[in-house]
Amino acid sequence: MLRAEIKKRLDGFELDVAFEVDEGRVVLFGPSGAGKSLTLQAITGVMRPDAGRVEVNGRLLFDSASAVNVPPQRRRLGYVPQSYGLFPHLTVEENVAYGVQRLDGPQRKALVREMVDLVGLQGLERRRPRELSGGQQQRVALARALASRPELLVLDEPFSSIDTGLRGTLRRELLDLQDRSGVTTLVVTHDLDDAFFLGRRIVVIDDGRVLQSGSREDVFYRPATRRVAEFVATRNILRAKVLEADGQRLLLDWQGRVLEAEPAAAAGVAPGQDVELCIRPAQVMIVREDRLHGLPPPENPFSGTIIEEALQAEAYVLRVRLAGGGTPSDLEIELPDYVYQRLRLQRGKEITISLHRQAMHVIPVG
Amino acid sequence: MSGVDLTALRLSLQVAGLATGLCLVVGIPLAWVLARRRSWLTEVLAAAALLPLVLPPTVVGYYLLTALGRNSGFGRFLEDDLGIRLVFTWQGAGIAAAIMALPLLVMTARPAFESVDPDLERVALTLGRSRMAVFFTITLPLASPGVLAGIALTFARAIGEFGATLMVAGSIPGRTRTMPLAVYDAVQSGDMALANTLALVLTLTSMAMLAVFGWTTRRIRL
Amino acid sequence: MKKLLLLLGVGMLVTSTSCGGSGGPELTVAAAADLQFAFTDIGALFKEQCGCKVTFIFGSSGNLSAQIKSGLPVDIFASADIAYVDGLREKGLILEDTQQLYAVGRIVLAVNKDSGLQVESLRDLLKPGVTKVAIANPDHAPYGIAARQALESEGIWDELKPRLVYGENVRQALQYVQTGDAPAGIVALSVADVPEISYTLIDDSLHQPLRQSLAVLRRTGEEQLARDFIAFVNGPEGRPIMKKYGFVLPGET
Repeated sequence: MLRAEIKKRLDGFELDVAFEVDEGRVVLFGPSGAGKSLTLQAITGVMRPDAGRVEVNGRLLFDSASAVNVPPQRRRLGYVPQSYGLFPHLTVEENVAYGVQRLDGPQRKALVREMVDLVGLQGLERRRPRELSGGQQQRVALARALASRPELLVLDEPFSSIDTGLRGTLRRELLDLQDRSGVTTLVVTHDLDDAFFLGRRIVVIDDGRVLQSGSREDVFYRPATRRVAEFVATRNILRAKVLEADGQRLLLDWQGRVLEAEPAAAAGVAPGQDVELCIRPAQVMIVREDRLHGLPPPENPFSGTIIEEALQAEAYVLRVRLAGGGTPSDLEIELPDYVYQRLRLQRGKEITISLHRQAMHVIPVG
Repeated sequence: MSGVDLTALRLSLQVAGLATGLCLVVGIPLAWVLARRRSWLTEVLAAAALLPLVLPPTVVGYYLLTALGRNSGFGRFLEDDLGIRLVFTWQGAGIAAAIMALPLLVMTARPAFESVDPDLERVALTLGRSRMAVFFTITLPLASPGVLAGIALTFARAIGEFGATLMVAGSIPGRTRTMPLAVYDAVQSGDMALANTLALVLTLTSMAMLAVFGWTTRRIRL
Repeated sequence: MKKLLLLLGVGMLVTSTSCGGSGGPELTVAAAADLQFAFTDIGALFKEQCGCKVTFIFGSSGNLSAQIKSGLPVDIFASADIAYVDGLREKGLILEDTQQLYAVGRIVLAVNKDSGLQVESLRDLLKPGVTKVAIANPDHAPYGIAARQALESEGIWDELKPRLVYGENVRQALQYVQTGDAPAGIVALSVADVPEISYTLIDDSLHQPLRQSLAVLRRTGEEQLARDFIAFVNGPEGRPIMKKYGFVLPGET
């Protein structure tokens, strides 16, 4: 359990964050310069906030009101900085053993061996950090942090310097390690994939403030603000107006087109209000004319033309210009490569798309 | 080598040893603070620490003599109440040499400490070690090439100290006449043979020290 | 690495705390530079007699006097000018009953033999070949002051000034002439008898008398030994040596 309220003013930057999480895997997510590292520093005790409170598993680590400030060496946290922070002049063994000097020789040796086994670095105990690969270095850093049985493990941008190919493997390994060790983990990252993969709970930070703190599904599919929606790559953010918003229906006017969304998404909106309509590209459906028979009619159907297409790794990103309405309205669609092939899509083709009611998320404006 | 040479050499080693010790005690923590924190106070301290580099040694010696000798209240207090006399002693010479050599240590140790990634120190703290332990197990070892070079320079400077030593400690044979002073005195009395021997011994000693430190810094590989 | 640092630290501690000095009484004498030869001889004799250690610090009387005022730990001060001893007496730093004259100094005109120059009178210093003239520093060395007085009496001080080089004390002035860095100079009679120079006595009416006085310092820890030394210098063993080096007391031949 992690509770943090941190206020700090530094060089024209103001940090004012507050969040409370119970999950075992938390991600602090946001762009560079958002204040994530600063928040980390406050939690680890390296930086002293101007005001606030930090509590981990019921232990009060910092409280400006009662002048509590537990020094970093007694916070019982494991910290893995972005560059792993391995001590270059010590071997793997010595690095891992660094935090457990209070144990006597045999106990220490046993613990080191246990940790080395846990991260799978057997045989490398005598090596120096510079002789190891990036992934191996990270594992040493983890072993070292976990050796002192911390209550919270904090990782700063763990994969920022890892090649994409290796990332997948390392991410899974980290997850696996976290499961096996059972330690609550706080990961700081600006990478969306990392955030989604590693976090059960995501705290979105930008410009020194918390924009949203929620489950990963909440943040992804129900971003609280336009900014959050942008961060989680909701590529379709459309300005619309509320037409009807009672318990049964939510009708929106988007550029003259009428859309029906889930009534549940109607929280806090009233007719006549402006909203940001968020639709993830992967959730835009393409209607197969030849398969309509016997199925319920497609929701919110619109016809349009593919005006742009781009192939990314195994997925196509299309830009579809919808017909009708006032000004030209474009939607971004993402679909797997094989679907693109099977539907024989290409630039210039006219297609019909369907927006499921559940795929539409509404953010009130103003 | 006659007895004269040995005494002067021993005095020089004593004075330089004391001076280096004093510099370490004052200079290493100072260099670390200067490397890690930046405020108006640290900049003032940095300037003060470097001042002896640009002041003539005789001026430093003069200030010391005035402050520590019988002509000042503090000097009288030291001598009469605490029984400590510093002027005209090798300990006083050591203090003078320490002041002259301190800038060299600070100037080399500060960048050495700056080159140590602060993240390493942070991680070490979170692993539960005290600040002192982190300093001695992480910071110092990683900064050691620069620090050792600084110590070498400091020792060499202290052994060669002349002007401030002469002012504060005088040139008392057997008590404060270090090698540089002995050379000067030998030349003054026209004993060129003695001057030659002393100068040679001093040069060889200094070169030997630099060689030792060159060897130690090369040995430390990270 | 740790061991190396430890070794260095211990080494430094050892060298800095090791102290020389065995037991036995020790006398430290601050003496004017012109006494170098005379006192070294006397000191050797005295050491045999007393079985003690005698250390000399030679320098210009002015320098030594200033150092003594700042706390220079010596037992005896032998000055080339009584004025400096008087100065210490006024500060209460000497045992007044020990103050006594030990010589009247004489200055000589010295020439480096290898220079090939003929310099036998003060006016000869103005000859073109005499590039530099060495004297002791007139600010704090009695023999420098006397040299200046003589040159002023002769009326050539201003003219000669550009060629003057100052030695820290009369011994250093002598050294300049010995090496030939200054082909000529004015030095003390008591140090002039060295193979490299030939010298001529300067008329002592041209300068204030160099009344050379010594005294035991109040802060001495070896009062009896110091008194013995002074008695030795002015006694039957010491006087012949002093005379040999040209130190004569008024009335002595």
